[in-house]
Amino acid sequence: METDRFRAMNTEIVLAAEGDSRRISQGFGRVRQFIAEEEARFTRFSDASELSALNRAAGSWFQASSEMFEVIRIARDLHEQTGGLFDPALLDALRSIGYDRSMDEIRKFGNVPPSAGFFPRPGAGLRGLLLDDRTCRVWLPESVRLDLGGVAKGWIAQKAAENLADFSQACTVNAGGDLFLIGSPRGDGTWRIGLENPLEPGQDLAVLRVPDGAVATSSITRRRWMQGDQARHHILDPRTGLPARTDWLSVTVLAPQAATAEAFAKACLIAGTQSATLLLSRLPGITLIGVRNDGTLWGSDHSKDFIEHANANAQPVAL
Amino acid sequence: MKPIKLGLRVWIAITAVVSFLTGWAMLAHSGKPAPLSAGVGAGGSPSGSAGGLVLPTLAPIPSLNNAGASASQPQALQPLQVQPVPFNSMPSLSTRGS
Repeated sequence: METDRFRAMNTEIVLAAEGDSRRISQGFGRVRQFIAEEEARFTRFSDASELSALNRAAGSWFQASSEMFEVIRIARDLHEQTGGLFDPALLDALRSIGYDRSMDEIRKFGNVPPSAGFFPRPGAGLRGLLLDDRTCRVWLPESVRLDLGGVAKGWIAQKAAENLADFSQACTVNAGGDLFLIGSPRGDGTWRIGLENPLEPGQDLAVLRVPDGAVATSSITRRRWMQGDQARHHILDPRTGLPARTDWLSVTVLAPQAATAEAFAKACLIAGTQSATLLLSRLPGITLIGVRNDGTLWGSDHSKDFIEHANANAQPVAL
Repeated sequence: MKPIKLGLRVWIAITAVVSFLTGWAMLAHSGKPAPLSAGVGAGGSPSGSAGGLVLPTLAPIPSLNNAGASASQPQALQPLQVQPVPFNSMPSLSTRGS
């Protein structure tokens, strides 16, 4: 398996592929360029991005690129499928809790000042959003500002993997822990994916065996900072506009599509252990594995089929 | 020079008062924001809005501070027991929150 590692989208990107070395090298170059282009399109941290231009155009029709239109449509569908718990319209709320700059910058200082001009409030959702399929135009209501970070990373990882698949027999793109897997690697044909312990970065809690598709994890332990004397993390509950109060430490979702896995991981994390299965029942074909805040591991039906050496219905063992 | 200065001061005063009164009048007569309730389209948008979305009413979530005291188990989720992963057996790829 050949690999390529670099930094993009404020996270580590890992490309892995099997096949002809020369072709794979070409594929890696193509994918790096693709990811750079899409990051520039979807980032909210640059005024020059298409997303920033779209947000500035709220209240009027905006001519979107086909990529932007597709991701917004996917985000809207996932917003409905998760009953609103996945909400891509929380940009102002994110700014109010101090996430108004990249995580790399926040980590440099560790503490961000109280926000000026932005206040936590429940998300308004996508009420009034219009998509013109014929012309790829988008109407954002004046009250809506989009942050597509919750699905764009997964979408980019999937598209990048599909690009890389043209140059390899089996490949994967890992964008900061959200993976899309294509083809069967040598061996038994399944991908071995470590499930990182949310309390011990760098250590795996379990090993997943995944044939293909998407694996995405949301966690409240990794992106944390202080805003004055308030502890913050980046998974907002749209019902309050504040960091979600949940009894999960992390939720991993396996799904056929990367954006689906990413959005449902967030939504199930916000929903908590009591209500996560309500969400899973809305969309068949997805599997949840989560770490509760007492350190125990829990999974939805058939989740143990994806875990090496796992026993279901056993006494849970704390980490 | 004196008349010019006086004229400027009068002009600034008049425009300040007019601006204040105009802004006050606009705010007083502007529409109220749409309530956050299901099925209500946003005011002012073209016809054919996407329609309101209903957030689910979910069970109360234990606070992070009290989570250790909660004895309830998640419904329909199964507890999983896994064998520790030896360091030399860790996969090269991993999933984590980013």
